[in-house]
Amino acid sequence: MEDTLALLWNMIEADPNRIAVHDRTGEHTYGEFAGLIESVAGAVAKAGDHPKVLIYLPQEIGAYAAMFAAHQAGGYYGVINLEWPPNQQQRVFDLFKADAVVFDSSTVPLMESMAGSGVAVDLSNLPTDRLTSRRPAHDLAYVMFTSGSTGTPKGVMISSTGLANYVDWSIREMALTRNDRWSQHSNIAFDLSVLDVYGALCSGASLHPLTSLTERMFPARFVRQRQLTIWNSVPSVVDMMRASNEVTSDNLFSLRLLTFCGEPLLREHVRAIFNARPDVEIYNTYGPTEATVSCTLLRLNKEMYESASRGSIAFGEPIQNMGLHLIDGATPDEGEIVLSGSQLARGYWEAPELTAEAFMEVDIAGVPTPVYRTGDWGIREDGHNYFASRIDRQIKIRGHRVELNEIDKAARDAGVRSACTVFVDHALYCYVEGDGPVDLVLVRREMEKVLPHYAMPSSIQQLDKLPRNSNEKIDANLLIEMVKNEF
Amino acid sequence: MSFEAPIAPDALIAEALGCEPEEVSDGLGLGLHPKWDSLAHLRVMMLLEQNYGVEIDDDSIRHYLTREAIHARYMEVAEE
Repeated sequence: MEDTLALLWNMIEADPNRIAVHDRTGEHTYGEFAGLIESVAGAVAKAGDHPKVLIYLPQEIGAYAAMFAAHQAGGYYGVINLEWPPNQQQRVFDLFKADAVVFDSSTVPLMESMAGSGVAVDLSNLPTDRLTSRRPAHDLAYVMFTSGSTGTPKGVMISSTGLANYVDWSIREMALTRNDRWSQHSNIAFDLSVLDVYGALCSGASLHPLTSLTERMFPARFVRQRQLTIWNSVPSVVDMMRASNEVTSDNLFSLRLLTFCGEPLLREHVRAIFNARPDVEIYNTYGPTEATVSCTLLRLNKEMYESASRGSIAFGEPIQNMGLHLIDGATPDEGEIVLSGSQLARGYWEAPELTAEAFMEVDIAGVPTPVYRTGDWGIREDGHNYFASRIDRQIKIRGHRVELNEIDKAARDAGVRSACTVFVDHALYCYVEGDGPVDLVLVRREMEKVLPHYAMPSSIQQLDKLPRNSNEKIDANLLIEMVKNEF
Repeated sequence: MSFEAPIAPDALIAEALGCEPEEVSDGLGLGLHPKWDSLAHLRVMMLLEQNYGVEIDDDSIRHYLTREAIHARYMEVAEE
């Protein structure tokens, strides 16, 4: 199995004039991309044999080049999310202790406070000496930092071999070609972007980051404008497309594949897409950052998706060299999802205790097996694997075990677009989002038909929009804070 | 597209926000009213495009953040 840098260089040599990246600054060929990689690699290589490279750049060609440049120089990288507030960015700077920081004119003001953080590599003023041959690879490919909004960020250490397995799988399973045109919706500090960046550039396709306000407000238009063939995002981006009535065959005409990960894919998401494009293929995938983006797959088509749905869509079977197991359940068909295989992270950056809590050996069919405990509860039903809930979304109320996601589902089934229930001080609070004003009395009445009395929320409130993080995931922690402030 | 009888700006904003036109008042804007969030702003921009011929781009998304800006555009359209 070739590593990702070798795959990229194969594509560069095969056709240097093909477009690699079409970003805010325009179109860039693979040849230009190669030159930029060698220049940045030449600069970061001065920081050591295996430099830790911190990428402090917007979602443009420079950031992608810095990722591969770190590998070219025998090192690995971390990424700063420019949408984080400065104090969170500072925490990652302090934790990572980079040997080299790559920045440009847009991030230079904050760089001034980062003195002493290693070699400063200014993309607008790169040295002339290039690193044209690659150094021996480091064991790590990258460290993906969580936001750390409530404390110290966690850095997930992903290995070069794990990344290679994932990219090899994506190229073959998605039948990627140089004619593909990929979206890049997720922030580059979010692991879902890894599929976009490496999937596209290691297969000779072109990568199309959404960077402007307009593009992010109307992602379906972006698909049409760029004639994208592959869309990859969290499922709730489909809600944005639906809100603007733009899930249409015209907008999605060029797509051949949509892949989703990061949160439960709902039946209504899939239905909306297939109504517009019955011939397109949809992949539902599952996986935590600690297993290199995703590690399962279910291929969906119009004929079968209903049979793979119980509220959310099934997430499929493990991909090559990965294993998925359910442990600690009352039956073999339910339990905490634990993952094994080559894509497991090496642990958390400078956090051995956290690593020991999540990465361990468990007995799988009589064999001690290194696994990552996801904290997700899964069930197997009619031959399909489903995400049921976060374990910390299972609560006990008056002695009864309650799945908060089941309450959310009851609210959605009662007609609201999205719902999120939180448990605060022994009471349930359900927040809903509708396409317009929601009749909450009616919603409550419908929910009472399917939920036991102890699972009925003491409060159901409509919000214009449920709070979401930068990756469009519903932010339950913010709702908990709202409850504490309001009640 | 015809602009002969454009929807009144307060009605347009109310439709986008899902509220009554009477609730639309001076000083209203993105983040200045609990209902004018990013999803509502998407609806504002779509209604501006459909009714006032506004081309949606980053400049217009940033420009039409307030009731006043939308009223000004309405006056331009009404005079055309």
